[in-house]
Amino acid sequence: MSRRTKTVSRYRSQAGIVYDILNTIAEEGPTSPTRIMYGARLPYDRLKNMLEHLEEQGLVKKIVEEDRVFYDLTPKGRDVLEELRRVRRLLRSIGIRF
Amino acid sequence: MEGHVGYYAVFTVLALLEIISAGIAITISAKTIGLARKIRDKGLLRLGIGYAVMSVALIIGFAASLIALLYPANPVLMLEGRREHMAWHHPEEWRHGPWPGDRFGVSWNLVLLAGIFFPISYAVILYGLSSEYVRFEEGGRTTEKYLGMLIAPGLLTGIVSDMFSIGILIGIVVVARKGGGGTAPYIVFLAAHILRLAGEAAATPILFLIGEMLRPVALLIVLGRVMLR
Repeated sequence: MSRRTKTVSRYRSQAGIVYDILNTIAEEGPTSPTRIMYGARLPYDRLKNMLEHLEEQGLVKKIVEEDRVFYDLTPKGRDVLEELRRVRRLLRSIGIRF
Repeated sequence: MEGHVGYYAVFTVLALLEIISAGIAITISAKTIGLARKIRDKGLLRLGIGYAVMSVALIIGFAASLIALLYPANPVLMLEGRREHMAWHHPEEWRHGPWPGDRFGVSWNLVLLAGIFFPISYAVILYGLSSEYVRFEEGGRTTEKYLGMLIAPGLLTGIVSDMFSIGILIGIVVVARKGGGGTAPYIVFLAAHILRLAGEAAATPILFLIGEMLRPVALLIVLGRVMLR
């Protein structure tokens, strides 16, 4: 008898990942990459690339205090997060895994 | 007279559905492109461009319906007496195709043009959807009649574009988000193109027109889902 297990999607949309990262930072305030990693459910190497990408776009800012690194949202990042919240239903309705 | 009423009713509903759904497609396109530019998301950008192309197709379809309304071509014959003029009785009628409007005129050509834009839009949407996803490590017999249909003015274009659309839409249904009805609009698009293809193959206007009407309904589903939640 075959055993059936619940399938977890192995793919996520980039917009969904950006939303999870921005949302985690918005909820936690200035946040360490480790906390963002758990909040956004991303492996560290992919998170690192995404944070660099978001920093280049001016959505997050890197804060270095002594030896510790934190990330916080910029005003542009907050605007984008609000916009992502508004269009989330729409994106889901047109087939984006969000 | 009843045939006239049916003809005008069909094209009025079709024109309304197409212009409303064009508005929805433009809204989807504007929102996704705007967001994609802010987060530099190429997949989302392609998805938005796909919906922009679809809105062009819907506007062209709207123009075709409007022309069919303003310049009707023998509506009683087209909508009610169609089966008496099937290919096996009158091959020359078969060549007219499934469009009940002016089948040699501007409106039929516009329907064919929109038919080309639709598979392009689906292809761009499929490309956008597939590039949007990031892999996440977590756990026959050819008869003379049939040939007659194929050489009908522009009909081959319609058939080929619908076949392309069906193939691409099957791909989209596979790629799109499964939970929460993310595939629903694409399944409706798929049903619409199957009906259009059946209408073209059998030269049956009613199938073709239901297919035409179903296509905008797919976008109304998106609107309904966004508004009702």
